[in-house]
Amino acid sequence: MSRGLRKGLTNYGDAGFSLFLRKAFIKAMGYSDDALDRPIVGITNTYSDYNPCHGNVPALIEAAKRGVMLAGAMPMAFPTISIHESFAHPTSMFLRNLMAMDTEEMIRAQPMDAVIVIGGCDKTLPAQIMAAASVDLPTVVIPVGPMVVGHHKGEVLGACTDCRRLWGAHRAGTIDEAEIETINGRLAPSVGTCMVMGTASTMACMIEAMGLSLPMSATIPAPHAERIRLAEASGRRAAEMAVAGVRGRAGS
Amino acid sequence: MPAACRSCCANSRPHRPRRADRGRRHPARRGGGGRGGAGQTVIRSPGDPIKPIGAMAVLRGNLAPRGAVIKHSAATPGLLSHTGRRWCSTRWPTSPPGWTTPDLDVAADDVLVLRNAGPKGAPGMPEAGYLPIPKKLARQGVKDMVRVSDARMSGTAFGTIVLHVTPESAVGGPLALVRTGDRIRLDVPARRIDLLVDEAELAARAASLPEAARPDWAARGYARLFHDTVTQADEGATSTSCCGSRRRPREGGRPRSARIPRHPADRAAAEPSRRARPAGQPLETRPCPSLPRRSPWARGRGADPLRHRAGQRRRGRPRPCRRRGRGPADPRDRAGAVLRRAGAGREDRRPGAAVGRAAAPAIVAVDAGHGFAYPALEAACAALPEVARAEGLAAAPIRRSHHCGAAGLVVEALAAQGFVALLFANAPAAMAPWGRDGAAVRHQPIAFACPLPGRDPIVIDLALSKVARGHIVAAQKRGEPIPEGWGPRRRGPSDHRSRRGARRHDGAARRRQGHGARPDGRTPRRRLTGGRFAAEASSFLDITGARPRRPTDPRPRPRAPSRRTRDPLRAAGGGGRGAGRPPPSRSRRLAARERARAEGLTIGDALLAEIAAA
Repeated sequence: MSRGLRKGLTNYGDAGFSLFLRKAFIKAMGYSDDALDRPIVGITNTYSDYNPCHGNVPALIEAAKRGVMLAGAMPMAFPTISIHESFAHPTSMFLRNLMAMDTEEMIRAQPMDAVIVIGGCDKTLPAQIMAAASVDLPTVVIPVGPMVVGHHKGEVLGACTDCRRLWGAHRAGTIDEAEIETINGRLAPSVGTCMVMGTASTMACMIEAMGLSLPMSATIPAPHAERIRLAEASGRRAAEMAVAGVRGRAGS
Repeated sequence: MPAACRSCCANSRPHRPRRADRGRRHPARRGGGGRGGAGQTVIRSPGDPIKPIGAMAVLRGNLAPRGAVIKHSAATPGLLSHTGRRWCSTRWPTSPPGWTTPDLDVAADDVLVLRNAGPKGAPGMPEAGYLPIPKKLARQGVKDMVRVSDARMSGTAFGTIVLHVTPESAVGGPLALVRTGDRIRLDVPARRIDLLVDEAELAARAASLPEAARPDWAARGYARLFHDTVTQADEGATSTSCCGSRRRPREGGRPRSARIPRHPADRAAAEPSRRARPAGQPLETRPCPSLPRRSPWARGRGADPLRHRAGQRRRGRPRPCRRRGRGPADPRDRAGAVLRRAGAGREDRRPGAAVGRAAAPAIVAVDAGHGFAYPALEAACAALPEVARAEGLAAAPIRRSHHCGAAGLVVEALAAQGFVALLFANAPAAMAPWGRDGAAVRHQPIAFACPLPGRDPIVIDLALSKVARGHIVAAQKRGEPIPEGWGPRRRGPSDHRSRRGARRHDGAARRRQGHGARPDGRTPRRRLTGGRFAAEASSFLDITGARPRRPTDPRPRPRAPSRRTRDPLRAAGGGGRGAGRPPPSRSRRLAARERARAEGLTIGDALLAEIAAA
């Protein structure tokens, strides 16, 4: 069974030539032969300037790469669609299956022995799980983690739940324009997913309970240093699966 | 999460690792992580939940035939059972005119409805179900109203909001038929959401709906793919192109989920034809177009197979096998056995059976997990009709099960839904045929049922039985004699008047088990212990009551006390000339059922005591 760079060679009619051409191109990135001989762990890059939930994804990718390399495999990050609830017209659900198909096809088309999917916002994690299940490659999920909380007039704000409650109060006339604008700046104080028990938290908890991500991964806040350490540990786990050649298993 | 999993697992069954996982710890117990114990208030214990009800409830009714969802843990308790006037005819994406005007004709107990916000209509099923309270009512302090839509709602939102109404209005679902002024009844404890408009009016409204055409936004590109392949909410609002070849979008009927819901109210809502229907009301029959509409019996050979056979006998044909069936569901048959097995620890109390779809599209594989076959048969019968309608033929192999039970009841239920059904099971060989040595005949129920136009379905149920074997073995172990007539004689013909069989019960029991000859070498090889007709017996395991009959005795009987009682085949002939009586086989089964319905069932004290002790 082919592994690493030899997987899924582009079809030019001559497998030897396909591998030769592939290595020639990838060396333009500055990789050595030793690096290219390793098992490959793909990492989905779902960072987007439109997606504040995934604002910490570059740091998570860097940590995951570190974990992969320390375990002896080769990390390769690649971009996919990234969907945020408030920045998808008509609605993020319209694009969920598109993200699933994109992620699935890119995992299938590119050579990798294991994949790390990084998601968080409501539709991203389900789409990535659908893709991973369809491709049947060893997969580790890294949720981006929840935001820290904001405060207003002595009470803790929970991003989407309190934004609806306070907007309802504004419509009822009990909160004026100036105050609602102040609240608007405090509902989402950091990168990460909504810090209430909404869809994003539910998805992350379910994925951890199913064993698709490492223990404790659902609840570490996004800006917390432990989240970065978790990404490194996830990278290490994915590399172990790639090196061992585990088939059809996900997470730990 | 590990602490939450540990808290949930603490009171549940221990995890049984598979062979490949032995030596690896359960995920809930794996890894470090804090114990989540002292000082924390986030993780509650199962005995002290935030709310004793679950978060979600699935509703059904004529407004949502394939279901709707409500997050009742975040709803106002006073609105969970509510009937209101439908107010708004909002059609996504426009807000209703006058939503913000102060003199709007809306009251706090109205039901707000949003249409055209489902997977295909909106498109994409936006999180628009959280309809804002009209400004006039918001200023009066109204915080929550019942809202119904085919849209989603954010997981962070709250309110008494019914969502995911399926089928959605854009594909012609009942939500499209609602008009301002109609009354809608929400009853979450009963899991119902109903539109209080009569069927004829709804049919007239449905006929006047415009034809569904491709909307402009779905002209090309991904939008076109989405519009053409999106499934309904009860199937995940996903794309058929992402699913396997077995999935197809469905416009009506029940979803393919074969799992029986665990909550009793959800189960009742999921299977209204079996639970909510009052006793005595027949199930709907739907014709199965790919199968012959007339059974062979109805094609001119005579409606009653027994009458046909009786006719053959009169004309000198060979005596046929007698029809031997089991009667109506008699709890005395099985309840005692279930209790005894459960009490002895031999029965695993796991509820239900695991149903899966095997490689072939028409196969519904069921794994009963070494449990009784009854829940496995229930699960299979819940799944088979849909598969059979889709594929034309369906089969459910059930493995790792025991105690098939009354096979005729299973096929009868399927025939009532319009299917020709066949059920067979297997069991170890338990009986020696006449004149032979050793157990060779299997206790093999086989049942067949076929719907008949305008009549009750025909049911044939054949089973051989080891009559009272358990009692005889138990009597042997206690050192008691076998009751008269239940054991064969040492020599000579087996006779229900014999007394010598009582003295030879140990040998009889041994032979009955097929263990071989007695020392004198002249063992009568009559190991057929006989059976009963179901209408006469309370249980095949019960030695009280009528004595067994020997079904195949090649020698003529010296005296026939009554031709009618001796030969139920003749009795089934009913005087022989087709006098127009209803088929006695079916009437016996149905009459017994009617009697049980009217008079109830008598349960003996011994069984009642066992039930109380269990």
